[in-house]
Amino acid sequence: MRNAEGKIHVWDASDNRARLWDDPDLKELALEGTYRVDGIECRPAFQRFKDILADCTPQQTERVTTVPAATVQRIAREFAKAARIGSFIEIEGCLLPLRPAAYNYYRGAQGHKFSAMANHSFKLVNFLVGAIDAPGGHVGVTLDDWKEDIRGGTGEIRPGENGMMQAAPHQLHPEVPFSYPPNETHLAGYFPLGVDPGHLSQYTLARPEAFGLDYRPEALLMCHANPLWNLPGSRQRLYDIMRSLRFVVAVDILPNESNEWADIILPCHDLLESWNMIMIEPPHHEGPCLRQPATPPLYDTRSEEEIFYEISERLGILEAWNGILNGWNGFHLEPELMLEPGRRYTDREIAERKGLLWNGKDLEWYIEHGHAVTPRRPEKWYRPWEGMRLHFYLEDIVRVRDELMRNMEAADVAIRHEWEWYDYQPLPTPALDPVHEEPPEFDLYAVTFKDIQINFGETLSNPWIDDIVFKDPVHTAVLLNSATGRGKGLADGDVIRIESPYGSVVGRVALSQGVHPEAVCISNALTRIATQHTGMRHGGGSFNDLLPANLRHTDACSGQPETVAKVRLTKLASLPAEVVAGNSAYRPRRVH
Amino acid sequence: MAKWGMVFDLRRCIGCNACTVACKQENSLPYGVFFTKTLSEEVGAYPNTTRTYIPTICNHCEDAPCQRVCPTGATYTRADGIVLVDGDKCIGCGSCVVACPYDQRTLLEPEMLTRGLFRNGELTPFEQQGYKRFTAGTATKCTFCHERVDAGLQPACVATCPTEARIFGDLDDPDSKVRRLIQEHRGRQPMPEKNTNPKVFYID
Repeated sequence: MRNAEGKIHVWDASDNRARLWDDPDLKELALEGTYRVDGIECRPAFQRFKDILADCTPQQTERVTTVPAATVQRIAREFAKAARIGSFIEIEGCLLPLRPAAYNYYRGAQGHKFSAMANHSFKLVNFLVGAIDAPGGHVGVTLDDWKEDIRGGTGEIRPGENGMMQAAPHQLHPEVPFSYPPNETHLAGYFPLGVDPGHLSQYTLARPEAFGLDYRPEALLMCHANPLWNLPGSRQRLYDIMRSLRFVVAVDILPNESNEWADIILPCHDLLESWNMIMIEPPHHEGPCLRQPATPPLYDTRSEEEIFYEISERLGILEAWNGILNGWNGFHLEPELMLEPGRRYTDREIAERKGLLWNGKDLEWYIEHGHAVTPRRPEKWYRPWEGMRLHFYLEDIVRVRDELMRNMEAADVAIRHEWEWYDYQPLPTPALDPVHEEPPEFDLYAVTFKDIQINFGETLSNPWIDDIVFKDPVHTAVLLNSATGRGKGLADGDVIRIESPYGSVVGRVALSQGVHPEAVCISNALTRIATQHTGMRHGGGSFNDLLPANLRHTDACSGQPETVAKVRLTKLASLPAEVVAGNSAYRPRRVH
Repeated sequence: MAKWGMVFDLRRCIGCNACTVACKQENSLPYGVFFTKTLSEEVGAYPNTTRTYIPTICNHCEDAPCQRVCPTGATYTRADGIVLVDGDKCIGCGSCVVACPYDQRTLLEPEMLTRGLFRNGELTPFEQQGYKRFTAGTATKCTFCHERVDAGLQPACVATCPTEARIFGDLDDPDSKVRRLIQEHRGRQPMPEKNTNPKVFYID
């Protein structure tokens, strides 16, 4: 509830009346209850959340997740107790709340329909015990200092309205403006809060008229990218897109599933052959690290900087390119570091400027010291928003939804009638992910996983990693719960087809006690399908083929695609010839 | 003189194999050759299941069976307890490979040193430099990174381990961390029934 000026009302339980949130006479904020303000019935956000939770009992959770209700309750009790609500700790002279318990989560928990709500609900658990950015708790990624003033302030923490922290939804780049026809085939302009949903390009290009696309992409430039491996959806549809392109160019160091389609590959220096200055991953520490050549280039390659300067110069956009680099790297903050419009710069020069921007030290200093990484100051590391209120009820999501709706209606975007408007909720709801609603013959959940050595799968072409990974039974077979496998008449070594409503892969079975009875687990090591890169072993097909790439299975709020598929298994007599031919993950290899 | 040994803290090993990669990098090991391995095993029944990890290396045994059976004296023990192989003396008979109860020795087949790890098979500059230390047809194994140790450094696997599951030190020094850990946690040697007196201990 807001007044005419947009200020938020709260309920003063002491005086039993509504007050503005910053009313100095406010005595006791009501968290619960139902009230009337200006004749309108309303509830505090906490009460709304509590009402939602009434429909999320441990027993209901058990029905969906199979985690026993008693276990859910036990963990909740242990969590709340471990959080030590009310305790404090002094760190470097700062007295801070101590909350040694946190709900920590990564993409596996978020890569689903309703991911924004899932993310919000995880966060609210931390919220409820005060473990947001508190020592011992869930310490969020407040990005580095540079981004407070560059890239559209994507990492900035600054006051917003009504005493709250300003919401900054995009960490990677400024918001992509709405456009119709959409300027982006993946519809980034329709995801004002989300990540760039690259998987949707195949959906829009499959029926461009429905999306009002009045153009077709003709060229593709990839830089260390592998969309044909890492995007969910149909490989065949992606191949069709690649075939439709007139010109494909790739900048890379290794052949992969995508750049083998390139008309031209511009080979760039390896990491050990080039200069770069990279900000260490926040939030624990901050500061740039220098990467310097350990060896001269072994082959006729160029640095990425040289490649993109060459392309920019030939296209006649050198000035614009330097402008982008100035803005992206923050050189505009120090005029003497600004790249001159008509000049080309080397990787070494760019690296040196980044170092100078951070601490004024030149490259010789960085060569001697290696990095300028230091632990973060407690006031930046913990509760960097001190003095502001955090968002519990994400009203921004509703506003963004309404603005998008208005934009779509004004532009008469036909797809608005299919848009997943329910995905924008200010508080999480117990909506069921549509993956649970696939036809019942798809009786198992297929998930993919990675191990420490194979973070992005690209490392599998490293012979040392290959030597380790393909000796590990976890990565050389599809994992299935022992009892489930036996129930389906499957044994270790059997070959199966894993089929979802959207695609299929094959694999060899390994029964495991470490797998949920309803799950099929496919290692990232078995998902490569590269053909030209014979140093890379291919598995039984791309896991991503099992996944849908459409609006229904995309969180319209966050842009996240679904990363789990319902599947059924069919026993095969043997591995298909194409899977065991050549450089297969299913064949032993002595020499790489 | 120190008596070098290693402790594996099984409570800390997470099976990341950073040690294995560091070892391969430090020693330029050809494909299929390992000076250290991390064994893993699934334990328990669903839903109470976990994986256990057991790092393994040459145990640099005090009474090394590999050394006993070596007909040429190629395998020898330094004064500091590190067991090494002299590639110039090794005739590649393979006796040590058979004698080692821990399966920690490898015979270097010639093609391992002539064929590069990358597809065209040419040796990269890294391999050209690294393979100089090996002699085709001879036995090889973990050296406790003796060059590093002689330079006052930790073995590569120890320096790399992100969880400090590998601890290297002087077994003769009563104040060393390895001695303290072995005493406090009743460190166990692998396969004590073989009477080899390994200088590697496991604690959990």
